[in-house]
Amino acid sequence: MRVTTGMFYNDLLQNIQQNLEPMLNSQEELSTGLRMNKPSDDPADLGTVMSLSSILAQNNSEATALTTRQSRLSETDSALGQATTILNRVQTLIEEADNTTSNSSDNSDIAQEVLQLLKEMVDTANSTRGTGPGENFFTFDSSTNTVSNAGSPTVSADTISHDTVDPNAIFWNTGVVSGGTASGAGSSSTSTTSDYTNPGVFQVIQNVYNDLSTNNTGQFTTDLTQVADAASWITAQRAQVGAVENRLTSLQTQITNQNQNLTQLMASFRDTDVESATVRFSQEQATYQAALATSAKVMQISLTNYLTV
Amino acid sequence: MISTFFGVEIARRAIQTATDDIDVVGHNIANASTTGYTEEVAQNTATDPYTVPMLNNPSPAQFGTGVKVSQITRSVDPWVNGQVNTSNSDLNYWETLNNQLQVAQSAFQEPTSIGIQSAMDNFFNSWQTLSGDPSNMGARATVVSDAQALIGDFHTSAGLLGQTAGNIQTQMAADVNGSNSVINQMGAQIAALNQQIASVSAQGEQPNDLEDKRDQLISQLSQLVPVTVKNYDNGTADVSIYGAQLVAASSSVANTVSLTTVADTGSYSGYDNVLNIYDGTSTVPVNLTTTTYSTGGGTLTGLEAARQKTGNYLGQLDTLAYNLAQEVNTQHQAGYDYNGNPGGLFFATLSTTTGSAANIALSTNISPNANGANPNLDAIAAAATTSDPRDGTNALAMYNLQSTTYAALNNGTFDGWYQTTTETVGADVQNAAQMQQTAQATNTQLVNMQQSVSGVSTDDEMTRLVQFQYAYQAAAQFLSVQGKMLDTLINGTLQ
Repeated sequence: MRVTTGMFYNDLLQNIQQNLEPMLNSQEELSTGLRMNKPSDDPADLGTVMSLSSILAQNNSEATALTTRQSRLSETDSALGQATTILNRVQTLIEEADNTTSNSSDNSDIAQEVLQLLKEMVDTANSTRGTGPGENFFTFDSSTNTVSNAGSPTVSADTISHDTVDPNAIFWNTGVVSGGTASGAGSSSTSTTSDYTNPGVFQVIQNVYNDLSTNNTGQFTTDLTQVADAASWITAQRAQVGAVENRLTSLQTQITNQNQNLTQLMASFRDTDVESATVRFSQEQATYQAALATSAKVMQISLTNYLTV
Repeated sequence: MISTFFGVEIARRAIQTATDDIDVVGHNIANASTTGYTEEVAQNTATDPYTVPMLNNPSPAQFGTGVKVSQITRSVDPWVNGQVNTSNSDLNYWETLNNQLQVAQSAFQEPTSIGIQSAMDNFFNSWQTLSGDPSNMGARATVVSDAQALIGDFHTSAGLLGQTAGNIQTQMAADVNGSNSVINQMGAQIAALNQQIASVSAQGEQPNDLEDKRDQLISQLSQLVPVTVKNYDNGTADVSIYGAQLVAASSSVANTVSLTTVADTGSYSGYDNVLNIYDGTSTVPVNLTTTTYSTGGGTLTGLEAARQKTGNYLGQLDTLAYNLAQEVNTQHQAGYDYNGNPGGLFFATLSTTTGSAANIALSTNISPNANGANPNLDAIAAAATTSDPRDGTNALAMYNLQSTTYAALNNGTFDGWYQTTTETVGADVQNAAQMQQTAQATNTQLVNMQQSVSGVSTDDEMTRLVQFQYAYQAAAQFLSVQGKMLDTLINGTLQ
């Protein structure tokens, strides 16, 4: 084949371009740390990477949702703890009043404290995270959006009677866990310990107050039993909340582990294999330099250098 | 009897020829880097012999009379040139397709955390967050802002794809339409050159540089459209594009081309592009959209292919946006809002699939203000019951939409549909890039082959320069001897 001057320059330009392009790609890979920067980099694995990143995003979202539920549960937990403390105090007060040395005037003083505890109990039942519907932890009255009469409980039995903590509503807003995934919260509770058939907790405290103020000492023992029942029922609910909290924690751990695996898997698809990319880059560099060097040498050679016309 | 000055005449011709040879070498060296230049070679031939009649010999003696440059030929192989032109068409087809698809590809920012996929994930995940905390206005606001981000991403991608397709169409029209379009101008120039070539040839001369210029124009034309050339002995050539004649060798005017659009005959590209070649009386239409080319078709065909592909990608996004808006709306309307009212539209109703990605928007129910400010957060239907704003069941159902499969999306999920689209884009770009590389390699080889035949080698020329310089020196020496002989004859014999 006859070789002409133009061929050298054409080839040189082509070769420089051809060598520069892979170098640019390698440099992009190394500088971004990603093997896949655009869809055309690896269309075959693209779907896998995109699915993985989608699953990761879903998992992260679930983890966040779990955290929200956990914080609600822990708020519920502490409110239930508060309720237990109140009932324990009422119990102590009855025991104090039941003491033979107490007289009716002492008992009416004690009755005042019980009234305060009743108010506190209503406040606890009305615990909310904010104003507006749907923010309170416990019973939900759709007509008033609160436990009614919360602000000024009266001693009249009929006004507070429907404020009894509804056993079927205690898990409102705390989230339900089923089938291994965190699903929507707030829809319903699964409390089955609805055996609490005694008067509602408010009614119980109110009875205590009534009996103390009228010094109805004969009722003290019954009151004591009812208060203890209410306290143990609330403790049982608290245990359920704790159980759900545990389940959520373990679910969160599962998600964290899963994410770790998925992230690793995605990295194996998407990230640059730094060692091989570096080696490849040096190789490309060497080829490029060789192309430049040989071309530069060849370009210098011409018959004109040897002629003295 | 030979003239006294016979030798002087031989010397003159030799000097003249050596000068001509050196001039041709000079022309070659001067044009060593000229694009489209073909190496020229001066053909030296002996001049007609001089016959001296002789009385004592029946056959007359013949004396050589020296040398002349009979013609200056160009070193050209029309077959190789044809191959280079085809390869040019092929290379430019893939190069154009690759470049345009790279632009279209930038509408698919994957796999990153800023593309449509992650916007879709965020949107559906925000419903999950809302389901866990339906009365939280912050969670409701996130649903709206994530929806706005998704809409924004759809608009950006659809805008880019639509704009790319529009730019391509503008470029195609500019290449074809009007007397100043590249194709029409090249056709006119080729026709004019054909005429000049014919008239020079008619006088027995070689129109080398005119032919170079004409072939260069054909080569440039082949970068734009598929070209076939038929060469004639007088140097003129017929030129056809897309198999239809553009320039007839004998005609001084070229046919004119124009681009028109006709109704879409098949795939999602909006319309078909038709190239009309008009010869003054009738029109030959070439449907660029439906015709396929086994070996490339130049920039114009590449643009058409890119326009179709870009249109297809946009169509896929439209399908996604349309179905997503519909499914979300259906689910939204099945729920109840914060105030216990039945859910309204979440996205504004999209009338047709076409244009959905560019037109998807929040409904006025959710976003009463055109600029998206102060969305109506209460209107988000997270609940499945009318009586309880703390219920997040419908929000959860909304979240589950993303893992549901739809018949309209080839029984895939939203994510799956988008992934398939992105994979198609990636594979198309990768294929175009690889084909461009292959075409580039073929083109380099063929251009080298062409250069091998037609290119100027400065080393060759220098060698010839030396050769012809010595030829000139020898001829001058010969003339000097002739001069001395005449001097002896004229000045030495007559005292």
